[in-house]
Amino acid sequence: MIIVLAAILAVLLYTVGGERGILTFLTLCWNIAVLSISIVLISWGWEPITITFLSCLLICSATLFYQNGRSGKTFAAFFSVILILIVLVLPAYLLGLNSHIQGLNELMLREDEIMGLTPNININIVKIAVSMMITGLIGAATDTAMAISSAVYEVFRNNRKLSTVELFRSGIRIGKDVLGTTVNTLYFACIGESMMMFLLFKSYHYSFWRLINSKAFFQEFTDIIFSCLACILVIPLSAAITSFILKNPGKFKRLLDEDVLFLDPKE
Amino acid sequence: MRTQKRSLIFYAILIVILAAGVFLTANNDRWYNATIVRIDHAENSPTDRYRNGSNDRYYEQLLTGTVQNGPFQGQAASLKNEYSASGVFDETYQPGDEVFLNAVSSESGTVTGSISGLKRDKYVAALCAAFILFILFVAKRRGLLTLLSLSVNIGIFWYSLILYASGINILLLANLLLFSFTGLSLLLVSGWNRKTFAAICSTLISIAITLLLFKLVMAFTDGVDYAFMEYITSPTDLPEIFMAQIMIGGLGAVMDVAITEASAMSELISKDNEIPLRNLIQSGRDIGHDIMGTMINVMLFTYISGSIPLIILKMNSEIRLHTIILWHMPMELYRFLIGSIGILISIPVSILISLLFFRRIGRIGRIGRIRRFL
Repeated sequence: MIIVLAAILAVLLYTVGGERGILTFLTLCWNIAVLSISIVLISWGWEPITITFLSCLLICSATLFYQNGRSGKTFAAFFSVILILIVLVLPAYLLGLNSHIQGLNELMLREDEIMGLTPNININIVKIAVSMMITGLIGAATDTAMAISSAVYEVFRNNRKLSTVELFRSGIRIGKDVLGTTVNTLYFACIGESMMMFLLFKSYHYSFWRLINSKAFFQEFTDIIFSCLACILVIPLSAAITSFILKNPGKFKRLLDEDVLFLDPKE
Repeated sequence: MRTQKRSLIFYAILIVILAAGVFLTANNDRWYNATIVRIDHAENSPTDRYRNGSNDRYYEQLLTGTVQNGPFQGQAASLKNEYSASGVFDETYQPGDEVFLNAVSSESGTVTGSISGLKRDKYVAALCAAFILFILFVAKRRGLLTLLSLSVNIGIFWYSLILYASGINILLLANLLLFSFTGLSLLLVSGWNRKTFAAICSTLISIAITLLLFKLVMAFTDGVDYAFMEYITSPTDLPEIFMAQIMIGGLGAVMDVAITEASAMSELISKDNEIPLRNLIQSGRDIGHDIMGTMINVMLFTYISGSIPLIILKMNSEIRLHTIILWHMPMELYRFLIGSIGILISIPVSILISLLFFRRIGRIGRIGRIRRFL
């Protein structure tokens, strides 16, 4: 059944997206492969946060450069996503450490199959929880960053005389439009994923406060809220970086040599 | 200059309110009926027991603390906790942690009981405060609208949980949720206008087509094995719950596509009334191509990331990755695949519906034109 659904997805990607659909499909396969390999490496005992960071680099560069080409806007989006990751790793780690986010939650412990699992992992499980949060936010952060940088790029293409500050402002303005729907997307995906958990809590007659303090809820909650925070923070960052790169092409010559916009400055 | 001063004051007030909220939840022990103990001192000592069949050694903790609420408030507490080195199945407590107690009893001024969990509400509050602050700071009024729609949606969801507990069918509830979520969020995002109605229609139609497709696939293959759904212990209506999950899970992404296409179409038509149909469809497809890749990525990472810790645990239990993917996490994969299919279906559907709404083709368009003449 998974194979049938995957086949339908592939066919739809081709019919709806044409050539871009094939690109998307290949990127998707690449991302899943990178994700699986990084999970295998972590389970072999490699340092989880470093591995996650490297796999995020690979995933991000595939999504941006392979799917959307090498240009000023993709480089700007790439830099801003990396910056966001660096900014959010430390808070995520501290939070995970202090709030005991790691390990199995109280609902999982009630399941039979869990009891057969071995705890012989010799891995810091707080770090695994942090890698989970980082992996969760990379998709949303890349999406938002790309939307902002390509919009700023379009604005700049239509009006070359705009200053860095004006470009930044229009980036923020577009960001406001993108933000609402992205937060919505994350919220509904999260509700869909954790509906079972809520129903179960309800059937155990958990009160609101007990729910808030439970580990199962907290794991879901941090996952979504870190994605949302990444989306919000990436807006000013990518607006700033894009407008800076576009206004100072001289400094980024090596990055921009394939960019149509700067091939012929007297357009 | 004056607006700058006003917004400065606004942010100052906002920060004060949020900080007060976080401080309040960090000190809200009185609101709880369960006994809460703040741990002052922890003493750990290894035992010579291991978790069955592993080298995961158990440790014993002797915790002393102070009761924060209830009839024993202010008394000293002496608690025992057992944890294993890996920390997979249990927790270690440190001085400064606040924990809930079960089975509380008091003997000669010292309270004992068993620890039922950590008090996490202050972290929830702090994260919420950070979220509110940043979203208002970056998106100003739009941020406020997003917060509003988010809290309304959370309220609706909470209410539907109460309804479910009172015995209403989950599928019926999910349908109601679908309509109210779509209507409210889109109205709040883009206001009372034609664009919004086009987006609402295309969202509902796309979801319906996606679910139909899913049902068809289910009918022609061996269907879904619900035994691997996470958190199953009691409910008997698993197929219906799963249906509800995929219905709601893809909704956000489909709405995103629908509103993007609808506003792009209305923008194009308002800029140039005589724009040929072919160009309109081409632009719609281009926009769709731009958003579909990253949207599908969002679905992938949001769904898969949650199961990473469990996958790693299972891999260390000598279960092969291949087996895990095919047998232990098909639910996540189903949700991801169906969500992505929903995104793809919604692209042509929302282009078509927007065209219908904006008087380009079909009967609705003709009626619109006649009305303009009158």
